[in-house]
Amino acid sequence: MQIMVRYSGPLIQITRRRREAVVLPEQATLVELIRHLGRTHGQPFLRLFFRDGSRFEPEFVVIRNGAVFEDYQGALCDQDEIALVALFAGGSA
Amino acid sequence: MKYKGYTGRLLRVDLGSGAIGEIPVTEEQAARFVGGRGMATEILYRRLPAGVDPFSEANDLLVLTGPAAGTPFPTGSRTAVATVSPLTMTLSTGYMGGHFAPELKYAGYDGILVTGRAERPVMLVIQDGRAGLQDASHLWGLDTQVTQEEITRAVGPVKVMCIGPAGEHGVRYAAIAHEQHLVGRGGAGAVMGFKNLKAIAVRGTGSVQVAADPDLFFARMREMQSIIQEDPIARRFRQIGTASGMPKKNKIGALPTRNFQRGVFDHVEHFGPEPLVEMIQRYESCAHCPVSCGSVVRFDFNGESIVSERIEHESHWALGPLCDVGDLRAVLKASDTCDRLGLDTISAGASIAFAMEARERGLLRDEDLDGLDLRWGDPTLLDPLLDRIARRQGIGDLLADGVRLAAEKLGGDAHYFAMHTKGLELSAFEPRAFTGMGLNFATASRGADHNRAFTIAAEYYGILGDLDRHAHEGKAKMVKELQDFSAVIDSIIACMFTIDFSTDVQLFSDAINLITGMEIDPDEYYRIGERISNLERLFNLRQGIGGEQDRLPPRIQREAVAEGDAGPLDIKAMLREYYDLRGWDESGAPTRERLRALDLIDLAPHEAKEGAG
Ligand code: SF4
Repeated sequence: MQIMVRYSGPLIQITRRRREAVVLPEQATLVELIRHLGRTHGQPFLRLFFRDGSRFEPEFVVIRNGAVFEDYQGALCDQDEIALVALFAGGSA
Repeated sequence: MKYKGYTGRLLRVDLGSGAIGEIPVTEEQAARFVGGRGMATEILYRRLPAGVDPFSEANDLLVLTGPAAGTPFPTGSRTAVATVSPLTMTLSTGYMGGHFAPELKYAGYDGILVTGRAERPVMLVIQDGRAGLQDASHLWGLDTQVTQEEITRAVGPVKVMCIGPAGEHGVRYAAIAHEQHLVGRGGAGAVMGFKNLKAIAVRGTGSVQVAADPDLFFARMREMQSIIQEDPIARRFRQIGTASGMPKKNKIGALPTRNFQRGVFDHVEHFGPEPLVEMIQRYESCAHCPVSCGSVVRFDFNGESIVSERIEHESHWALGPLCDVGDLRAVLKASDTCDRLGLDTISAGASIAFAMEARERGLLRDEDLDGLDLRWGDPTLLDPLLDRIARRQGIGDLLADGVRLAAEKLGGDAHYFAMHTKGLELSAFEPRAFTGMGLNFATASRGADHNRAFTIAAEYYGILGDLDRHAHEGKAKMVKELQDFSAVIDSIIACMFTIDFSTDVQLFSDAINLITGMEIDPDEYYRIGERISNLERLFNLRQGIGGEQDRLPPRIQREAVAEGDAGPLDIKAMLREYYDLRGWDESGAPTRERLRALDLIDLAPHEAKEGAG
């Protein structure tokens, strides 16, 4: 299935893009999506989502198809849009 | 004026004589300073005498637009107001959204220079290239919303900026209101009140010329609008405003509470975004902004149904955690009261918190308090205190001067807990937990203003070279760059929130070039920003404000944050590095070399030293 990910603030700086499309196996979860993205964007990306390297505790509000999404282990669907919204933004001079 | 986007003229109004005329805006001013904050700094630097008293006829009030105002450039239709602040004695330039700037442009002016002082209350009415002063005695005493309603009822569909009772009574942090927007910080409303200028009303039916081919220009503007519209932060921001960060700051012990005595607020669960979202009735937008983040909320308070502008983070904090008030509705009501009275919510909340601590420490006695039992967290105190402040009644007279002067009057150890830099009360970010913000508070040209360099995202997420929020290394460079960046944004004049919405300087500079016909690249914009930062420094030095005032309140320097993870903050090393990066001498003054490099040597004072720039 294909998921569209939209980045904000600090994540644009880390990933150097505003959005990207990701292909994942059916039933993949948000945690799996983030791990998948971490393979491309590395530790600076992953440490904003995993506390102590393993506990999933994102420093962002996750918006799935326009609504706040907190069921991190729930299955995503094909064509979902996941927006990762920073709590503090700005300051990117 | 060969550049487009500008009308090439300022309206000049002398309130003392009643004379009305025009002065030109030059190409050189546009190319060197863009508009807004930059141009205001240049104009007032050339005009005002050294050490000018803000409450004197020699002080000017300058209203300015930017080149994007009145065009579809998203968020670029904001208004700047500059004057010498009665709170800080520095130059202070503040901004408001809404629809005033485009209307002024359409009326034929890039700005309005107000000089002198009227003998009795007046309002300035501008209609398509004509302007006149009218008696405003009947408006004196009215709040900011009623004043705007009365003027539009009497004059017609004008855009109005005005003061409320706080400005009339010379409260040093009085604001200027337009629609629901305020030029809050620094007391420009008090200067307007001193001048007996109750309001400015403007109606314009003209247009703004742009340099680029219209098809190309509108295509680019649509592109910018959709980048912003599609940005997830913009969408979320529209819904929750700036309220998202408070619970997170609390979790890390960095939410200044009880006048910066604590880093944790016990009632934070009431202060997240969700309760506010439920109150939203409708959204409103500033001119040409796709975000529409202004929202009108309805809530019940003391049996009354109140409709007001949604509260933003700073007001929410200053009237809530800072005073330890956990009753959200009382805080919303107090914020609405500030807007109507024409008070800056941050300085008002900080002054109340200061008074609560002064009472706790015995520096204010019961007989000083007009029968008010001034205790932390009492929600019933906010409205009565705000009303007394706005009218300078009883204890309100002391607090109307801001915490610096109030501490001087109280004596004892009051200066220790007067939380200001250069006289401007600290805003909602704990400098000990975000050391870059601490350095910005200490060095920003008008005192503790978080918008002069919003370091928080970079410090919290550690994105700029893995900056730890407690660390000192690397912060001077970040603060300098962000301060220069904000100087440019404030000169364009774009909304600071835009920076959150996937925009960048390249996008901005391309768009401004299309409007003006200039060819300014991002590097040149940073240079313009640095030029403005340096000229503001020269202005303040001439006011007698230099490196000795680049400091944080004693509490921040000596105490750890209770229940937080941050110790006392000593900025000496960061400050030295900051001066070095700026090319300033050890006293914090720009050297001649630096001024030469920034094309400011024509404005250099005689006493500026040679030195490595
Ligand atoms: S983002 Fe909000 S405050 Fe800024 S210009 Fe747009 S509507 Fe106004």
